Amino acid sequence: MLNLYFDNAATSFPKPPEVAEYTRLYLEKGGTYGRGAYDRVINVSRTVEETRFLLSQLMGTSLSENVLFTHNSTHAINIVLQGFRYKFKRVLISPLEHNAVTRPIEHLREKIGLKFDVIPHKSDGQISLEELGQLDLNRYDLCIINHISNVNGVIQPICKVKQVIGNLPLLVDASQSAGYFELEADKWNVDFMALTAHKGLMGPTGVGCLFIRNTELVSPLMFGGTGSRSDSFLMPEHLPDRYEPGTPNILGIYGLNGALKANVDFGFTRNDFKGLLSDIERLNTIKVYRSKSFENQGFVFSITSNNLSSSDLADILFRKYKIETRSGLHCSPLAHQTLGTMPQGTVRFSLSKYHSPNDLSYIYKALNEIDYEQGG
Amino acid sequence: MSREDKLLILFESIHKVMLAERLIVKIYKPYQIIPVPKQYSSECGMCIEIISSDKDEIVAELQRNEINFNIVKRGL
Repeated sequence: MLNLYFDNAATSFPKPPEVAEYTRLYLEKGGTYGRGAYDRVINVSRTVEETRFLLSQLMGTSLSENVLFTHNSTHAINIVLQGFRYKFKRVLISPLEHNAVTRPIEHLREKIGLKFDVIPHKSDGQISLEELGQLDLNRYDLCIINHISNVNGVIQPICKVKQVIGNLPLLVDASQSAGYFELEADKWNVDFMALTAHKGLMGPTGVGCLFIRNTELVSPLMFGGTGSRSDSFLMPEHLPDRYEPGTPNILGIYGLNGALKANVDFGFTRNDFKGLLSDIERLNTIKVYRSKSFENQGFVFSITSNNLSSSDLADILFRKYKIETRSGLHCSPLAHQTLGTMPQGTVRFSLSKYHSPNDLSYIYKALNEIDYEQGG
Repeated sequence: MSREDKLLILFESIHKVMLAERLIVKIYKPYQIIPVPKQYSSECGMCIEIISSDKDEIVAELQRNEINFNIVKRGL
């Protein structure tokens, strides 16, 4: 049976069976995290901390206590942006940022006068390292990079960016890369990394995490009970408690624990994907938005039609071919400004490890027919 | 075995308790996770009770893994 769900950059589906299994386990056994010391609590605390450890391994850091549970990447990014101790009130951002970054920045513009500059880039949004190196980096507090664009799938060279920017703190949004590509927070020397469970990791919604290397840079965003130092009105200084007030999303963390243990292999090869992109690019009425270099291409890409609006094209794909995609701006107006696809946006395809070569062929078959009908 | 033969290891966070537990399991020492007794300043709600004679090996293992802790005698 074909898997025609191509909206995995929003929320992945299907999930590995372990996600339901571990979620059910928590619903059956219950318990809370770190409040009390009876078996039910101890077992939950073990699972939460094991999940934190698995996430630290996934992010490529040995600092597991610096990995903080959040609701999602947006929450993680807000902790950094709203808690950051700005000196220059100016940040540098990649040209393909999501509203998870641009909206908090706009809020901070109104609140404290924060300004941003977009890193010089190529036409596909790939950062120009050479031009980045020519900027006066001493004017900035923070650099923010979307590791993989949720619009055209461009992969940014995080390690090289950090080498260029040196001591300027770097926040990496790994929402679209986690689960698909190796993350190396320590090796790349990133200062912050945000990710979410419900996309490439194939976990549940409502849980994500933030890696924060140096807590001196960021004040907590929220305050409340942690189950530790209960005699004080102040948040504890130690990690992870400093940034984790309130009971965490234990149900979500159990599901994520299952997802991280699932070990799902790709059902298609990079070559299958490359072939699909090349095939679609040959169609006359359809334009593909992707990285200029396939080496820097994540499992997301977009298309537009010469004759159809993005919403009409997505509707035809669903009504006629049962292909589920997302049309519009994908919460990334800055990326569309960069790519020249404002205000119509694009139709986005985002793949899952559960796709097969046949699923990819079916996309081409559908687009080929649409292209023919549109005079291609 | 009486309480006098026991020690308590106190940690600042549940994260550290769970890390320490993994290490103690790894070196096959008996232990129990219990609520922090009221007379000790509680940094988090759980602590680990161990047998006094295992102290040196457990402390060495925790220090080797850079885990901060306090060790106290189990109160009566």
